[in-house]
Amino acid sequence: MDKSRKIIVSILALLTLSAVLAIVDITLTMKKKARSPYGITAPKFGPGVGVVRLSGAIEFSSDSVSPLVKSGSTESVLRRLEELEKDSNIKAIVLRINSPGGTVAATQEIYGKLQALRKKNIILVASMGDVAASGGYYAASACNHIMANHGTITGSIGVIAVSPNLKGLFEKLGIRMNVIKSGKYKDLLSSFREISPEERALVQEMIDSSYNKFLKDVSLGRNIPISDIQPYADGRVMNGETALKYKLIDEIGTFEMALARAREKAKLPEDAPVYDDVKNPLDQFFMTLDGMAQKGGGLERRVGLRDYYMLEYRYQP
Amino acid sequence: MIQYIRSLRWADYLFYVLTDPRKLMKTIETSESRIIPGGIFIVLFSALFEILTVSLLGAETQYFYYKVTYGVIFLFLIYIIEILMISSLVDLFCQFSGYGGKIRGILNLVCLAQFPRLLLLPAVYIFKVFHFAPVFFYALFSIMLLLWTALIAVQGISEMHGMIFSRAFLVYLFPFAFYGLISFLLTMLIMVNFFGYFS
Repeated sequence: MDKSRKIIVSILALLTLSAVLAIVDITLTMKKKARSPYGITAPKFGPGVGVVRLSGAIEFSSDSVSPLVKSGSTESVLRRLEELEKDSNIKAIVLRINSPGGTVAATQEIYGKLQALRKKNIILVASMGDVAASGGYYAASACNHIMANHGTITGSIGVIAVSPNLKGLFEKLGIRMNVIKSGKYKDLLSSFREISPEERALVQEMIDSSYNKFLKDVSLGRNIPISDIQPYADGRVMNGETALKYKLIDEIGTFEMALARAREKAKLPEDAPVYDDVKNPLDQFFMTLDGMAQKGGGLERRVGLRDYYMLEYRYQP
Repeated sequence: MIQYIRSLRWADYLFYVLTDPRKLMKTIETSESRIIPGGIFIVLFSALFEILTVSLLGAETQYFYYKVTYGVIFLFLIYIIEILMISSLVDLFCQFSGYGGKIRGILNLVCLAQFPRLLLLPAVYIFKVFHFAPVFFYALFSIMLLLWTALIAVQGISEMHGMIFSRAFLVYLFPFAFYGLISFLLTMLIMVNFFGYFS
């Protein structure tokens, strides 16, 4: 054999040896568990629990929704519920609620969707976060089982409509509005004048109707008579412990416990997969952007008058 | 094939890669086969050794097994695409400069020129064993071996077309300048879109 060929064969032998040593070295010093939560994991498949997150104000989005930024609006919650409904692997759903409520129609739509899922024998477990009051509780009442943390703010069963009265301010500034209307109630809840007794009665009628619907739906969802709920359905908020005492919830527990309860009720094994909406860092990034967008919306809501003229199932301190 | 491996004729190519790139080019040009299989294997092992070297530097998890299987295949494909693009652009530039097109020769040359990069693993391993700045030496050796690879390719191109070294260097630099420009323009476009979208 040529000397040059011997040199090359020796180099290749050295390279092979170093590669084998490297593989053995890496395997021996390998950590047992992944360091990062985003490490490669086995793909999830088979029957499991779906997670739906209901966060922030419950209302239909009026702005255009970008394809990149996920919206936390009612539409996205309904879309997620529909997605889980179509998935044959989903045997139970945990509805994670962190919401002070929202508009009547949007809340009723979510409640209706949850009831439809319940009729399809999909187990629904509500898990309450910081706050699940008013419309947030309304949505929870559609579930088979409700769990809240000890300090969760819940309850606030009731309806509210707020209209600012700026008459005094306008008079001070010398501003008068010209209103031409087809009927006497066309500018109902106008901010530029006092509300008349007839108008108040009209709004009150709508509020009472929505309130009765709220009571009826909670009674239906919780399977308890209206008379048992009514004493505490005066708009009061309460913590998880009190809500348990009044039978507005079934159990005190965390999100993890809610997942375990969902598995148990759906007769799934303890290690059944959880299909969560937020599953990869990219999604989380966009969810964060969405959160920023929502915060912006909240600010607008506090300083503007845009959304004042609505009936709401909302806890509004 | 077995006879070819036993004959160790392939070892001559590797020897010339390390010692005399001009002679390597001459041997490639007189070679009977259109594609030298050794070149492809060198690219494959280059991908494997790169991943092993990087894995040695960090604390590995079970994810390592994905890296040495799917990861190596993926990196190998990237290297192949990279080599194809560099070779075609070098050949294109040569033709524009009035030299003949010799894509087969350039492809074999660029593939074989990757051989020194295999030395990265044992070189870094020594510093890893002694815990003496392995990351620094990884970066240093990577740059040095990359320059060595480029030097082999430039000398080969110079020999292939009988052009002076500096011109061969410019020819080899052309694909990188081209990619740099394209990447810069693409980055600008993405940034403009990104900021436009979020503002």
